[in-house]
Amino acid sequence: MRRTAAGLGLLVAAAAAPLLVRSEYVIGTLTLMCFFAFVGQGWNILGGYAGQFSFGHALFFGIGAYTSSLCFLKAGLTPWVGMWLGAAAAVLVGLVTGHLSFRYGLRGAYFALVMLAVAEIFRVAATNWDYVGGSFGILVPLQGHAPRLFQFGDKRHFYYVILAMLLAVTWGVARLERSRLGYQMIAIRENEAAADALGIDPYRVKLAAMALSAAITALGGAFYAQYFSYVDPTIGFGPGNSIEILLRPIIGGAGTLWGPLLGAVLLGLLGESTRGLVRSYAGLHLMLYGVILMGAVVFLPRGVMGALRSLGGGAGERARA
Amino acid sequence: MSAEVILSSLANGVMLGGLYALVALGLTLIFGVMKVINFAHGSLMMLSMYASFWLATRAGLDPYLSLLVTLPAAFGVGYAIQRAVIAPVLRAPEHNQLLMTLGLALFLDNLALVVFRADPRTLLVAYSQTTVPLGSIRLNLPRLLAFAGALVISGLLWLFLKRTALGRALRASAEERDGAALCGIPVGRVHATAFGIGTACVAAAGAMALPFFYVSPEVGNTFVITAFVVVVLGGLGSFPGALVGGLLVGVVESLGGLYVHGSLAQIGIFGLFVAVLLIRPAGLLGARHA
Amino acid sequence: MTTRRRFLRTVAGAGAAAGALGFPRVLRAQAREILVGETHPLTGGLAREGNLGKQGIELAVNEINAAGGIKALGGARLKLMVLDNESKPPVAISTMERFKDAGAVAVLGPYASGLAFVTTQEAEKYRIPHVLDVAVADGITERGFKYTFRLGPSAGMGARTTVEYLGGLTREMRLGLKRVVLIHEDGLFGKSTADTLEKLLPGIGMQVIERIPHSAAAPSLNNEVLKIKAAKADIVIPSTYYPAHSLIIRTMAEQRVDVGAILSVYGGAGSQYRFIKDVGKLADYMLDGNHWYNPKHPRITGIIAAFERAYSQPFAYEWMLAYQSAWVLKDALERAGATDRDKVREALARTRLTNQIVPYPISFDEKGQNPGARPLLMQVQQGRIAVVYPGEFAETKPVIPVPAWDKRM
Repeated sequence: MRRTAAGLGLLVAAAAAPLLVRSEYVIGTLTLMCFFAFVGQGWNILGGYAGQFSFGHALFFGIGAYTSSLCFLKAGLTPWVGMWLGAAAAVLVGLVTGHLSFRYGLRGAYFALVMLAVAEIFRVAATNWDYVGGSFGILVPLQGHAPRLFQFGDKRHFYYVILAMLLAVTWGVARLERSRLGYQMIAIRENEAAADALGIDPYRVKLAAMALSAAITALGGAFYAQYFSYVDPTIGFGPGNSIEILLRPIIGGAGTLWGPLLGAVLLGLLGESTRGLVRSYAGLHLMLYGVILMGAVVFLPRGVMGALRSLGGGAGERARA
Repeated sequence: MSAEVILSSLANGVMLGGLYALVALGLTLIFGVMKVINFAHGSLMMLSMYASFWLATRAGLDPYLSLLVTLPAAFGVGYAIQRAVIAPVLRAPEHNQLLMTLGLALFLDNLALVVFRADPRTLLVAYSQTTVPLGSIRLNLPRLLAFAGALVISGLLWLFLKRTALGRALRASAEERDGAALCGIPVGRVHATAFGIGTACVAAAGAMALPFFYVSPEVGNTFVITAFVVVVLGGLGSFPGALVGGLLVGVVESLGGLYVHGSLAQIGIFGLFVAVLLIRPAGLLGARHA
Repeated sequence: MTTRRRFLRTVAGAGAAAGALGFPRVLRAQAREILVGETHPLTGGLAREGNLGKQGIELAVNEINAAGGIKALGGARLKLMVLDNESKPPVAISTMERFKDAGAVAVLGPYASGLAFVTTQEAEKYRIPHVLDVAVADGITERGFKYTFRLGPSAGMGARTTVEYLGGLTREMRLGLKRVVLIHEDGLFGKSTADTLEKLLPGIGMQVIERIPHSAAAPSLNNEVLKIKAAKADIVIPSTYYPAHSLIIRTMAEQRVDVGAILSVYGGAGSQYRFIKDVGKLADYMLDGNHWYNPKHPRITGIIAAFERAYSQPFAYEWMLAYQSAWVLKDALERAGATDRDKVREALARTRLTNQIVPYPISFDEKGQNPGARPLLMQVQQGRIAVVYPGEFAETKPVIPVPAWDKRM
């Protein structure tokens, strides 16, 4: 009950924020937080729940961003539809990559590196393929305020869109957590051999996780392309983006429902505050950011959610169990 | 394409491959012993390049002579980093180790930015533009030296691992961490030593690359992504694998670059990488645990 | 700095004096500060250039304030709000949001094209005038934005003008150089420049015999240089960033690849004193079509000396353009006589500056591009970067064909 009330309170606050705050900067920061929480939820299904650590999720992000923008640019198709085509394309690429990796039982560092390499292949290919804009990337033509084309004159509309997307995906993950598939994913993460012995097909379950994860991340990519109206191969497929995508769910707590959200809020605040702290020396704030990341790994080994749970003495956990 | 061009490209690929091998050796040693992928490897290379750069410009020390200073220093830095930063997460989930080394890389890269500023710096030594004729082609002396240096250092490291007690302890804990501990091997110290040696390897590669390359806070990325490919190709944790993988990648990259333009050549390398991972996940020479 | 500005200064000064006597409204305005936003990549991949830009703007703003601020606004001083965009577009957007919140009158920056694509878009959305310092990609001013102003030449203008210069040189010096090899990084900048060159070079009687794209982060450019050698080129035209440019020159020297000229377009290491400092004689005779100052401008020596004193760095054109952009804004503020963003925008659109430290007049067409902007052609001679073309700015004669490597080392 309390949890539901807290959730509802948060939701109301999030929905009311743009009405109360006039600062563009605050709205922009909130939008980015929601966006990173959204793609974080996508990563979390594969990397957190199913325990298959992906170091190349920019692959799906880029496919989503490119597909929706290209459909609009080349065929005039509204990104509201294009984003779903992007998700479908990402699922396809995810299934192929997943099939190849999981069929051979690639895990851990190996799987992480395969994902990195496939994303790099896409980055280099996009750089060299002029039809998709080559190294220049794609500028989404601005249409002013055109809600039907996923373009808004006011940032607040983008904020509501990503907030709605985040709510939907969080609701979906909450359902997944308690579904048969969700339990199977967790079982595989905890002990693949044992799960296999129990009759769970790791290959099939991992593929399912891959598909869901790819689709969500691609939808995030499509949102990004519309919000920034610019995507290039490095922004889309680069390793830096892959790192951005995975940082938040891990800091927040991999394999937990609230992890990506908490991580997005904390890293968002952290990034903004360290930026404000040290002005005079270029680079000092990123040094600090690095130190805080390292500290988080040592002191919050299971993410913020893990720390909260052990602080709570696991009372809630026991009650649920 | 003339035979001269192909030969020269081949030679250049081999020489560059030697350097990749040395960078990869450090990476693979650290992975082999600790099962940690060190994403700060490139940052450590960059720091060593700056060290050699400043020793050369301020103290007039040749980059090769400066190895006498930078190698022990790099070993010490690596040892300390393992103790302070890596040891606490050795038993943590893989993604936490990864995050740790990422945080370290972020810290070191921006430290360099604050201290050295972002300018790429070039160090020319007396022999930077010197070439050695080999048949009809000219080999760049610093590249040749770096290649020879990489071979010598790899050889010494190989002897160390095979012939000394510490080397054997290192290999033992790579094989079986808990078993090694049970046998009374001080695993903590062995791990720190491995990280120190790995850092010294990449530091040596950095110092030797300096006379024919440049240094900037981001320079490590140029080599380290390729080094990942090399390590996987040769088999994560495999010593000869890193050597062979390094040479192979160097040659493929160089010869491929003759026919395929620019960054497109990287697709070949990554394609090869994915293929090896899929068909022989343990790498070309990593027969262990295959 | 300019006669026009001096003229404005006197007139505005008189106005302020009159205001102080007769109109209390202006008197109140005297204590005012004008907030100017500045977004630059102070960290990340473009940190060097971003920091140079920041220093140039700082220098200009200090000069402007020391000389009495904005006269038309009762001597109001410019106050800079400097934000680091970390070389990342999302962060660049958040810097623009903060300028909007803080009420900045205008925004300067952001050096790089990839960042300018997003900052100009935000400026348009918030109706904040945005004066770009470098950011050469043609597309930036092709989006019909009303609040974007670029004072320097775009990438296309740079390539076109450099080809004109090369044609002029060929005629005047009766050069017999025909075979051109283009070597360019395969990113946005290198590729688009090479496209333009390939189209225009035949027009001046030159033939592009090979086009060699390379990866900007290549660990070696040996292959590429071998291809240049095999092509028996007369002229090599690199368009790439500093590290690769440096590798091309060094590898050509090492492999003794002799050509008539190495002439870059916006070459990363082209007109850079730090490159000369690092590689010494190897840099000699390099030609480069690039942003530069008017060497005949009476105040230029003083400005460069002031910069070098303040930041102990040799001259670099990145700060010069940023410095100039602050003066363009100052001029517009004087003419607008208001801090209203739309009035400042209108004043910017009507800019007519001549006799600036850049070697061209400054005005803006309906796209916000300065149509008169152009690069100059420089050559490194005995460790000094000298303007060699066009004649009206030339400090010395170019040396073409250049001496063979063996004769230089």
